[in-house]
Amino acid sequence: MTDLELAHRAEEIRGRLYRTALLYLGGEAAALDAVDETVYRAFLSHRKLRQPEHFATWITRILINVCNDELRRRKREPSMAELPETAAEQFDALPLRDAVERLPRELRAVVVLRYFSGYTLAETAEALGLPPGTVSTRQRKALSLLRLELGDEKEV
Amino acid sequence: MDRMLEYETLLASLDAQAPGLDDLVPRALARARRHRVRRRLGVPAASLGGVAAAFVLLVNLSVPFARACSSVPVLRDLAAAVALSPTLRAAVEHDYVQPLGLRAEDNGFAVELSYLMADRGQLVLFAVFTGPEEYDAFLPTARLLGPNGEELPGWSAVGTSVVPGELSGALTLIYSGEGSPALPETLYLECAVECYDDDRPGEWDAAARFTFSFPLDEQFRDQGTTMEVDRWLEVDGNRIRVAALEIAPTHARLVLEQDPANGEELRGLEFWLEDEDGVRYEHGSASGLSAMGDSYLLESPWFAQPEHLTLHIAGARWLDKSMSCVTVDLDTLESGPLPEGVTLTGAQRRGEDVELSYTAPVNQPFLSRITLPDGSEAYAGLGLTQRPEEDGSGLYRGYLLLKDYPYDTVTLQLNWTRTTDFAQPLTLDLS
Repeated sequence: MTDLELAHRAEEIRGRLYRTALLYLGGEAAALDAVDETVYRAFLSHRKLRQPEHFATWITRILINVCNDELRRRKREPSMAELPETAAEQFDALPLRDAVERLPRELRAVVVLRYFSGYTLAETAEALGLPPGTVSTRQRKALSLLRLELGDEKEV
Repeated sequence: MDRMLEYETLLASLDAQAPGLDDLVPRALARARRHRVRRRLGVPAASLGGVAAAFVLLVNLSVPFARACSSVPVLRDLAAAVALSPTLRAAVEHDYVQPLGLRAEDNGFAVELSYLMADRGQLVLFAVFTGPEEYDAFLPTARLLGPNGEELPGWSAVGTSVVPGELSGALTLIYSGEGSPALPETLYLECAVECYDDDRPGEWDAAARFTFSFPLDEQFRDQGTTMEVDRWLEVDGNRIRVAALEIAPTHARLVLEQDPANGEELRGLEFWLEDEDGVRYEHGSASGLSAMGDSYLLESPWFAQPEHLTLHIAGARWLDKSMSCVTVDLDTLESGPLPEGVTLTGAQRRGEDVELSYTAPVNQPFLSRITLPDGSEAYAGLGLTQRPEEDGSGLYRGYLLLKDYPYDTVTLQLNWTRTTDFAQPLTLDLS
C-alpha cells in the first residue's frame, strides 16, 4: 500500500476511528489526539500490511493500542477480574455513556467496536487479536453490565 | 431514560465529527515523512521544517550541487543522503568521496557499505541496511580496528537509526584522542547492528555482525588544518578560552578551555561562525553529535575557504559546581533546588515502574544519569523522553521512566542548572 492509498483509506475511516476513540477514552481532545497518532503510526508501518482488505481492522488495532497507552498513562484501571459483584447495579445507575467509559478496558473495547463503531464479531476479533469466542463472551458480559439488550442484529 | 432509547440517542450524538478531523490525514502524513527523513539523516526534529522539499530545491537551485548529482549519476542517492548537511553537501560538490562498494550478510541481514568520506578527525560511512521485512529501523555501532585486530585508540562510533533499504550516513567514527590519529592504509571495521520493530516499541534486538576491510584513499587520510586562536572571553560571568578552530573537509571543531576558577561549568554553547560574505557555519554535525567535552562540532568552511571568520555566541548552559545533583522524593515530589525553570509535575507508579514527569525551558534534558538509594548509578537516556508542550508556553515536557524501581527517592545527576540567551550575541574575530 502506498502513502496515497493509505491517505484515501484513512480519510474514509477517520470518522469511525474518532467515534471509537471518543467512547473508549471519554473526551474529544483525547480522541482526536488518539486518531492523529493512529494515522501517523499507520503511515510509518503500512509496509507491513500485506492484505489491504484487512486495512480497517489493522488500523483499528493500532487505535486500540494507542488508546490503551493513553489509559495506562492516565491511571490504573480495574480489570475484569476485579469487578465487584454489585457491578451491574452500579453500572445501571450511570448514564449509558458514563457506564461504557467505566467498563474494564477489555469489555469496553468489545462493546465500543461492536455496538458503536459498526464492526462485526469477526472484525472485532481480528482488530483486538482475540478469538471470536472470547469476543462473544466479553460482549455478553458487557451488555449484561450495561443492561443493554442488543444482539447481532443491532450492530451499527 | 429507557436504556435502549439512551443507546439510540448516544449513537446519534457520536455522528458529529470533531473539526480537527478535516486536516488529520495530511497532518499525519507530513509528520510521518518528517520522521522518516529524521531517522534517515539523524538530524534533530526542530531543524526539519522544509525537509520534504529540501533536496529538490537544492538540486534545482544549487548549480554545483546539481552538477555533482547529474555528472555522476551514482552519487544521486548520496546527494539525497547529505541534503541536510551543508558540510557533506559541499564535500559531494567537490567529489570528496571514496566509493567502497562492499557488501556483507549475516543472520538474514545485509549491509552495503557504499561510500566513505574521511579526514584526519572523522570517518563518515554511507551504507544501506536490509533485513527481514518486519523490521522498521536499524541501528549500527562499530569499532575501528588496526591490522592486528587491535582497537584503534581515540576513535568512537556514532550510529544513527536508519530505515531499511535507503542509503544514509549511518555510521560516523570520530577521533577524540590526543594529537592527530595515525590511520593505517587499510581500515578494519567491526560493525554490530540492532533492529527495531515498530510493533514492539522500545525494544532493540541484536541482529547481525559484519566485518569489513578497505583501503583508505591517500587523499583523505590527513586532511585538516588548525587555526590557533588563544583568546579569553568572559561569558555570563565565567572565563572561557577559545583555544583553536580545527577545520577539516567533513567537520570542524571549536576547541575551548574553561578557567578552573569559574563558579559554573560550561555544559553547552549556542554559537555560529560567519564569514566575510555573511555565510553562517552552524553548531552541529551530520552525525547529530554536537560536542565532545569542551570541543564543539560545527559545519565546516573547508571548501568555502573564507578569509575571515567571526565567532557569534548566542547562549550557554551552565552547571553550578556546588549543585551537581538533586534528590527527589517520589511520593511527595519534594526535592532540593532544581535547575532554573524546571518544575517536577508528577511521579506515577505503574506496576514495578515509576514515571517522573517535569517541564523545562529548553530542549536539552537537565539530567543525564541517576543514582539509586543503594548507591548504584544508571544512565537515564533510554528512559528519558522530552517534547515541546502543545499549549504554546514554549516549555518542554519530559518523562523519566525508572524501570523496576522499588525505591521512594531518586537522585538526578544534573546536566545544567542555568541557561542563558544573549539578546546581543557575543562576537570574537578569529581571523
